[in-house]
Amino acid sequence: MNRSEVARSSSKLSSGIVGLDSILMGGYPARRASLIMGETGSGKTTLSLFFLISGLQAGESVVLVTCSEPPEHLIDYIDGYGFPGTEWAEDGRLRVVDLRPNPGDIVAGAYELTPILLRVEGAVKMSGATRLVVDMLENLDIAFQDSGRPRKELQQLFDWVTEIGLTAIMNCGTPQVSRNAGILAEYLAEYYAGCVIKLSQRVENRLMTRVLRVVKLRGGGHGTDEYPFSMDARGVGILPVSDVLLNAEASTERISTGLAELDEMLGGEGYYAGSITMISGQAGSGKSTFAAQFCKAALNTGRRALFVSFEESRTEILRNMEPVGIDLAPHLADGSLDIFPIRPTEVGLESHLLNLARRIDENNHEIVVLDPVSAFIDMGQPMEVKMMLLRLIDFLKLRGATTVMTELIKVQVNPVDEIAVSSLTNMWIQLRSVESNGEFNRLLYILKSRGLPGSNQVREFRITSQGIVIEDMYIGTGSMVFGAERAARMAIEEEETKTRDATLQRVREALDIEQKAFEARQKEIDAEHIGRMKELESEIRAIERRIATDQEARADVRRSRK
Amino acid sequence: MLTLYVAGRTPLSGRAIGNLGRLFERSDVRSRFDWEVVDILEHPDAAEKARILVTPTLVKATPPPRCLIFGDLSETESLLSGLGIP
Repeated sequence: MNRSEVARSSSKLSSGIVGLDSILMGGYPARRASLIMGETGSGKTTLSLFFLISGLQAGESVVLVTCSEPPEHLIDYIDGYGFPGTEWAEDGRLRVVDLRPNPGDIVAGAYELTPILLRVEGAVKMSGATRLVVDMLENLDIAFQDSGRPRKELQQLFDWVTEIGLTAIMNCGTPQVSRNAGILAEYLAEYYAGCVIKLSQRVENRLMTRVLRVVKLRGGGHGTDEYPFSMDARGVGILPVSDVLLNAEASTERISTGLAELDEMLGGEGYYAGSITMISGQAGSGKSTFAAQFCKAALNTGRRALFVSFEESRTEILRNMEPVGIDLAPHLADGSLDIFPIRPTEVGLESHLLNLARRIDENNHEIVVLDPVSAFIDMGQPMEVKMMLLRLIDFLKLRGATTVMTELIKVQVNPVDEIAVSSLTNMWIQLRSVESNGEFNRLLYILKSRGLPGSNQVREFRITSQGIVIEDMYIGTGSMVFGAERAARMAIEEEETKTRDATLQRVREALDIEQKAFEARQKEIDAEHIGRMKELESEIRAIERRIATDQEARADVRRSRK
Repeated sequence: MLTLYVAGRTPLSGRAIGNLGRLFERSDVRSRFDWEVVDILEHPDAAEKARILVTPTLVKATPPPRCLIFGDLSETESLLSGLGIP
């Protein structure tokens, strides 16, 4: 591809680093100079080498101007990253212009920088380069005036670069590195650079964190945050939090949690494929076992899994899971399971991110277990740890990896997760060990289940030699009870139930008796009533008879007087 | 051997050549060095090969150590110390 073709094809040129392209909305501005500034060792050279590699891989020719490192070292670096640097240099597509000053050089009068212009122009013209990197120009003391301005030839060089439409990266130190660096950086940023990137590094807990920030990007938006990045033998890794995720496809496929009861609590079928679940709990509450059980179930259905352990070795994991009926060894043997033990303190946060991202990319793991992510708490500022985990979660979601991460909760007061990443997960399951009557009982809650019905019940579970067993729900009177106390309470309940039944029987009988008594009394009253009625009727009849007898007697007297 | 690299016929080139010529009027200099002039506009490869950064540049290749002296050589003291001449 020649210069005009590149010019037509795009307004951005890839930086050669996926994450950086995303931050720069496509790459460095094409046909412009970009400035990368930063302290010594902050990664300027590496970043710009990847810009060149990206062009070389696309068939372009490039020129690298070095004022600091020997050309052969720079070519070695490219070889070291796994690209044919030496070959590119030999076939002339990669030209290195060596502008390193000699420490013993002497100035004995007025001079011009014509050779620099001639050499750079010559290299660009001969190779037909589209990309140019100028590394550490500030090392050329002879290119700066005593007044502290770059000499006019540098301005001519930058003008020429812009004029012929090269896409260029100028690397430069910060004012803290040297006076010239400050002058050059300011000058480039003000007059030439369409894009300014600042790199910095800080050491915390004896581990180095590198950060990248886009200070300026002409003609369009760019990410404005500080982006941590890492560098290792394979290059630069940046995983920005990307809005691509908002478009990430939400799967409707479900993956079993490995436990029928838990699947049921989540609406019947388990986790959504590609979802992120957090399992929090105290030490010994069974977090790893839950994670392993899920892993095992997924492996049994032929999926590929990555089990990242931040605390235990491969053999420890196998040994700990075997007695609880989770045999991971066959999956490890056939390659479907990748157990990756790594100490959190072994490398910096960014390197962890990069390592995990690479491992998952290379092996296409569908299932990922991170046990426990709380191991990162001491690795930096809480916000940094959270951001790293956020970006890891983003990455996992983007990859569609169904993930279970565990988290150790030290003090069990409220369901509070210390890293506060549970809000970023789809599912949050909490395990609790509750002591009562001298024994520990394990409980499971679903605190959050985004997009799933999610049972709000608290369930007791046991870890047996056949794995985890989730007990049937027990809804007693008053508060939840578990274990032996649960059994005792059940007996009491049973007793109480019996008593109540008996009482009911009694009351029912009483009711019956009452009815009968009432009826009896009713009969008595009836009888009394009837008796009274008969009494009164006979009394009436007796009086009537007496009246009649009296009348008869009076009539007899009247008749006898006549 | 001294090589003076210049870029075309500029006033600076002229002054450097003049200053170097005057230096070679000294017999102790003449007895120790020869000199030549290379125009990098005509020989760009020579500039690349000798890693020339500025013009004029006087390169002392031998006797070692190799030393580069920048400028029109008007500062005689610097020039002499660069060439190791007391």
